[in-house]
Amino acid sequence: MMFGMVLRRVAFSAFSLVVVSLLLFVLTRSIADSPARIVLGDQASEQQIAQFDRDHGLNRPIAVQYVTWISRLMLHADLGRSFTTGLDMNRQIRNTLPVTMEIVGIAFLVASIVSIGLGVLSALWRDSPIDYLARLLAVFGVSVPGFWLALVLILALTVERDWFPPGGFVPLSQGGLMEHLRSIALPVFCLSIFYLAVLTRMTRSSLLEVLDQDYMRTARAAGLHAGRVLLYAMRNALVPVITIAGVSFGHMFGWALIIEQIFNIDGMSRALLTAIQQRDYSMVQAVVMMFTLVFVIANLVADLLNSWINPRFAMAAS
Amino acid sequence: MRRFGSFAAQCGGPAGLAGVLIVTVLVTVAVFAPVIAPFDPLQVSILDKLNTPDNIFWFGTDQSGRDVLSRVIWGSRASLMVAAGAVMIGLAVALPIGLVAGFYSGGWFEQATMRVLEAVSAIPTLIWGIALVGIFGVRSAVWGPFTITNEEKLLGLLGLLYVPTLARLTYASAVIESRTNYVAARRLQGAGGLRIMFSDVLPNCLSPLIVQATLLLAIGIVIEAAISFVGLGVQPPTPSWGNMLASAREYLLSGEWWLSVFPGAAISLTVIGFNLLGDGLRDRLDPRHTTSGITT
Amino acid sequence: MTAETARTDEPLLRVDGLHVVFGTGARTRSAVHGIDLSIKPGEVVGIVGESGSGKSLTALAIMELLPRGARIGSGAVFFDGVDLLKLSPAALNQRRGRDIAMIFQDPLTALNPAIPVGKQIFDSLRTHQPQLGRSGATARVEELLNLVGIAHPKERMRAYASELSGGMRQRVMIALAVASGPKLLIADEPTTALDVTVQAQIIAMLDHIRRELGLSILFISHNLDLVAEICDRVYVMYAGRVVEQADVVTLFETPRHPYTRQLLRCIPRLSDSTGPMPTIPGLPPQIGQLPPGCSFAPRCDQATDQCGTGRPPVWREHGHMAACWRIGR
Repeated sequence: MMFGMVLRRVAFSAFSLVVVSLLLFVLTRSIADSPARIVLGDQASEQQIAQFDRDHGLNRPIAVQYVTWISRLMLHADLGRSFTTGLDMNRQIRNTLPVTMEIVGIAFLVASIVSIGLGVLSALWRDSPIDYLARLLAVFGVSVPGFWLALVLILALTVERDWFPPGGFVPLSQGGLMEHLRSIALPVFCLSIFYLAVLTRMTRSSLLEVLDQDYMRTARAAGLHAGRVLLYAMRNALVPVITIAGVSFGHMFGWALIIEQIFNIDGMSRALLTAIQQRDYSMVQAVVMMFTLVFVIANLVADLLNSWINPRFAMAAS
Repeated sequence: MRRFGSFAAQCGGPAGLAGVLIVTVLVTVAVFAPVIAPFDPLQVSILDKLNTPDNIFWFGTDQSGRDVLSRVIWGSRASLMVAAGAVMIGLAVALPIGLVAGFYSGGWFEQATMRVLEAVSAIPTLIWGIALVGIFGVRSAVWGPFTITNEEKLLGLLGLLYVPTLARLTYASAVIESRTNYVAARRLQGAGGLRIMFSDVLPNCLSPLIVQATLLLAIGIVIEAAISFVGLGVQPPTPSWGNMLASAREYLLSGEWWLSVFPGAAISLTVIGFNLLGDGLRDRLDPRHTTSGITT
Repeated sequence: MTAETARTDEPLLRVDGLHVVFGTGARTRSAVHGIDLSIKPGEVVGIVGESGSGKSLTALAIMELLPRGARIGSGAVFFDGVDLLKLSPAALNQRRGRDIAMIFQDPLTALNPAIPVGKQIFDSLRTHQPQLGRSGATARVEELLNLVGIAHPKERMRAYASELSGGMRQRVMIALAVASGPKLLIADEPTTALDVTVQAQIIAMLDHIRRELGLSILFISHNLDLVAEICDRVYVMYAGRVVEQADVVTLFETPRHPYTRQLLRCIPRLSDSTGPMPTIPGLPPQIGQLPPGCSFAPRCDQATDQCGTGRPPVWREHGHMAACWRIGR
């Protein structure tokens, strides 16, 4: 039964990707100016444009173009070459993706671990000073936009003091561990704070709701140890938290874009914004596809994780 | 005093009340910007450039000598317009879809639309917002007899990106409401489907929608700021909190802190206000939390 | 009655003047007003009353599982000679499940939906009887499920609460409760959420378990028929107080308190002629809004002016007790 469910989920994610990629493809092709015009300029003649289109397969029906694109992507993981720049997009992305991945990955881990811990403490010691503090921090974390926080922290900690570098990404190979960490500390912090707040609130409210349930009373009536009682609660309380965490991971990639810009980090944001500037729409499409792929996978993982810790979730959702 | 207490309870407690206050102030500032702002936000004055905040320019001046306070006040218009416009467009498209799918539940429309919407929920809003606006280009578009400014493009796009969330929320309520006895009674009375949908089912779906709309307003403000920050939203010289932050970046390391602190504070305060309002409304209208708090 | 369940004089459970209150400070409202209870080893004692009479709260107070907002105002709960209310939380938790156990009204919400039912029993066994080891505990789970009449225990162990029928869930609850051989089982309206046919099965099974394991049972219900079937002795509660107490035969044959009499009259019998069914008019008082004097007076068919003047005197005779102004007058 479990296997069938996993299969169904994966199939739906694939369906999701197809629908979204189709939407993306159609939108990109219909809104953007033709690549031929962009590359050849406004003075180009009709024949030159037609020739360009033939060379790049742009004269075929849009459905065919889509199928070619998506099948190459799904079967060979190949994004192809940009129409505008002629560069191999795979390589461009491979250069910048790891940087963004690292920042988002660390930010996500920090946000998840701290928030769940804080949320649990907040719920167990309800209305205590810890609880009030956590709730206050959560409200502010949710409301203060990460990118403004970044600007403020740059002012406070890099201009006034010298605790962190004001920008730039120092790879491990170049500066050693300490310098590397110093260069990503602020970006990671600014990126994680919002989701930390959201997940803390979610954990707290979810756990509070679960603790009021009848089955928790049964668990206590059975004399189970406090640790096990908490575990009994968490297997139910974590479900919405994990769902939101999955969604958050995907969204974090989006916000990493802005954070990277502020801190002058050469991640995927540079790839996307440069592509927009250069009107390299095939690159824009490729990058957006990548982000969307990450989003879908993150949601899938969250769903599967939930089904594992709480099989009733699996049954309800299918 | 007692009436005040019950009003406060209506808003969902002291937090909700604070939210109402903040939002009211924001809307007032945005609407009365021409009256409230001390200076013309577009007036350039090289002599006054980069003043620190003082008695004349409470928030200081920017690199072109424009008064930051006035620009922050006028910036509220851009932010509010985009955020509110997006939510309205989103609702306008999502409501009919959700209602029809819920009301005619069991048909092909419901299955098809809901599956597609669920698939399309997998769109990270910010990325698509940036990418699509980027592709659209930041010039005003001409579409037949209409000229669409960049801000309008942005809010339309954002609104469409909100549709999956809003439609699914509407559908969830509509499905339940359509099964109630009084709807069956109305059908027996001979009322047409369309009429029942809008006069009977819709009003009962509004509660979670209102909460979600408020939360989407908060997110809309931040998204608009972010997109303007990367230069793809409201174009200078029109002030927007986002593009003010963008131009403030250059002066960050040289110490002109007021260029970034004030617009950012405005964003934060506004978002706090909408979040508090949304939370307060949620306690009253949606105690079972069917709405989601983050949908960036 | 076997030698194991020989009645001694020392009660297993003795509740002395238990007060359960809601709220704090000036807004304190009493829900249970100083009740006294006792249960001997091997006895089945019933508490009967309408909703709001405080019977569930009494049960929860004994286990110290009161809901948020409620707390024990004063009183003592002696179990096996030890005052439970004076124990540390850890010491009390040790006794829960091991010495005293409880089953609740709605078995669907009372079992953790995320964990297989067998595992829940397994965890309880491992907590109270670690010496069993993993395989020993698993074997015992199977035994327990057999004991409560669940077929195919090996498969059913791995099921989730939502996959079982109402009757089976309640059986699982019972298995969970008696897993570590408690001396007292508190059953709070165990059959209210079940079909009538299933109710009879569960009651029969409780009786069977009682005899097999030598348990005492505190059986709480608003259903007099069920109480008549299984209980040895019955307390009748109204508005947070005990109004009558007697062994079951005496209570049903010669009830002394007007409330008990009116309750008995409300039970429909096949022999009744058709016509309007008798009811007790009015509603029980809200917490904190008790009428002066006898709480039942406003609805009582024998009330006089005297009944409103103060707490009714307690009448006792051969182990039968009732609190009423009108007895003997």
